[in-house]
Amino acid sequence: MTEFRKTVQRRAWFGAALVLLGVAVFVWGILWLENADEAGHAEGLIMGFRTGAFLGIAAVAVGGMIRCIHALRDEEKLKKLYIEEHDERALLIAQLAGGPAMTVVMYGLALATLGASFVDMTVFLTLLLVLLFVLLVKLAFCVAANLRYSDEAGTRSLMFAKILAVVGLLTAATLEIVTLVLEIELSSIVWIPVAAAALLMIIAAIVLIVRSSKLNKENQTDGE
Amino acid sequence: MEADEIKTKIQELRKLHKLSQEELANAVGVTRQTITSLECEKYTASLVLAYKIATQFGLTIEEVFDFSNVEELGL
Repeated sequence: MTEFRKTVQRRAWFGAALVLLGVAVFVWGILWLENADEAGHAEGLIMGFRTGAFLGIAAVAVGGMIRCIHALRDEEKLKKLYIEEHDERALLIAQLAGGPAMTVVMYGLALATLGASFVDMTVFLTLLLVLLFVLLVKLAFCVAANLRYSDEAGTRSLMFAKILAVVGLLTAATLEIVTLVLEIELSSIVWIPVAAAALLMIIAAIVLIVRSSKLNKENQTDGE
Repeated sequence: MEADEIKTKIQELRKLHKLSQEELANAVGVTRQTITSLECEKYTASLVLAYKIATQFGLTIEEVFDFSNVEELGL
């Protein structure tokens, strides 16, 4: 419980920092909006959204801080908070809800990206970047979970291979977007090393996949 | 019945020991809802939780949880 108390203390301080930041941005936004007679509608909308978002963050942070302070003052409330956050059924529900939701988001984004490619290049590139980001987050969490629950060298190699393959492919895709879609001319000093790095990562990924499958086969033979 | 639906004697034992769901939940470090779900057989406890509950009643895991369903399926 001592460790959890420290976590709650850290959370309270983080909440205080968020409140300060939220209030500062909110005040700045209000002042900006008051003097924004000549600003365009879009600028006003963006500033309004930003101000509202930070006010929301500050409000949530205040709620969290109050909860933390109450828990820090009362041992019973601290225990209750610990149980609420570590309850295995609640954690399982969160996992079951999070995984499929992420998959739906990924497929939805992929479809939207595909649709946008027929309509508008800017929207397409924005959605593509968001999709790549979501894919990277999903991959990072899968890798972290696999590494945490695996001790086999084969599985670990396979995970690193996946990371290398995805990073290599992403590097290659970015290079292609920059040069072919955005038509930005890169000097050979830039694109040759980047392309070589991407190629090396993909080759390393293939080598690791072959190696991990060999290790997995050896492990299976050992068990027989 | 599926293999992961494990019958339990938690409700019976809890009443025998005159414990409320809240008290048992606090003793084993879960929420009251988890105890309700376990009693209704809507949720299967982890090995650690099963051990904590069994220890709370001074019994073994097999005495609190009925694994005959798993044995029947040959799993």
